[in-house]
Amino acid sequence: MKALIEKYFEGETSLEEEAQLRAYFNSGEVDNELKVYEPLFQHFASEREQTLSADFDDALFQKMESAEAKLVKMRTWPRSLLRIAAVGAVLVVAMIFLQKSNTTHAQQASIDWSKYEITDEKKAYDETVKALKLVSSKLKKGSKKAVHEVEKMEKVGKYFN
Amino acid sequence: MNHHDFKTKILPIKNRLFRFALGIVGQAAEAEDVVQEVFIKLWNNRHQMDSISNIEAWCITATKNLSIDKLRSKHQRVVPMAAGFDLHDHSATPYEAAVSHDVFDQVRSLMNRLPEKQRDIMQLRDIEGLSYQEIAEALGVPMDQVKVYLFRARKAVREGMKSEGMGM
Repeated sequence: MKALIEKYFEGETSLEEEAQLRAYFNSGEVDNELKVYEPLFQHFASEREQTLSADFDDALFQKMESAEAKLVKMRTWPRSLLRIAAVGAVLVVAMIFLQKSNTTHAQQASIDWSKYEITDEKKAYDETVKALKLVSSKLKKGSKKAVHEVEKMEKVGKYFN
Repeated sequence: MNHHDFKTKILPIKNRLFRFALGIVGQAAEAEDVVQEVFIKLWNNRHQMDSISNIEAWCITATKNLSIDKLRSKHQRVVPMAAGFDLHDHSATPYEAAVSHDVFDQVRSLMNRLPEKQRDIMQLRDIEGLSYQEIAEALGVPMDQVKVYLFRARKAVREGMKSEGMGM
């Protein structure tokens, strides 16, 4: 038995050997040398005897039934309601979508671009010149800025030379 | 799963789950609530349970998780169980009985002071008599690690008994 207890503390015992140890230490005939381990194995045995109260099963089955009833109730009512709500939601979304796409088409169709078109040749020439001048002025601004920056770089470069 | 399966396969492990919950929450009433909740959860999901290979392991895991939740929600600490539990008593005299209860409390307290995994594994092995495989599945710990934790737990309890002078 002494060898078996050492094996137990090494974590090498099988379930059968552990049952043997429990039986030995609960037999009341434990060798003096091994008495020190008696409380440990007696503790295991006494813990094993702790049980749920006698009315546990009845209370459980009652709760299980009421939980099941609740589940059934939840499944029948809200599910059918949910289906109706889902169909309604789909219809509302579809209606909003259709209405929106109709209005944008209508708006696009209502713009009459022909009235902005220039028919007079002279006016068209003037408008073109005006547009080209605008582009040219912007380009000039760009080159002026570039010259200015190059001049600045040259000034800085002097300090390094 | 039907009523018959529940009564024959699940209900027989109720006390094992109760003791496991008790080791975590420390109070019998709380532990009973945990087991009841686990069983109701299982029953409500019984249609999915057929795909689970080891329902006992599932129950142990659920018991552990629910016990921890309960403990956290009430900010309780694990305390050694109050005296007065139906401990088996073979003592001849009241003095012996007192000493015996004291020693049991010491052992229980030593186990409660172990790190969580070590305590769970020692309880499932030494009190519930589960195999390494069953413990590994229930706690989601590799089997070789179960052996290591168990070795450490037993060693710590042995050393604790020595340092507290429990007959050594």
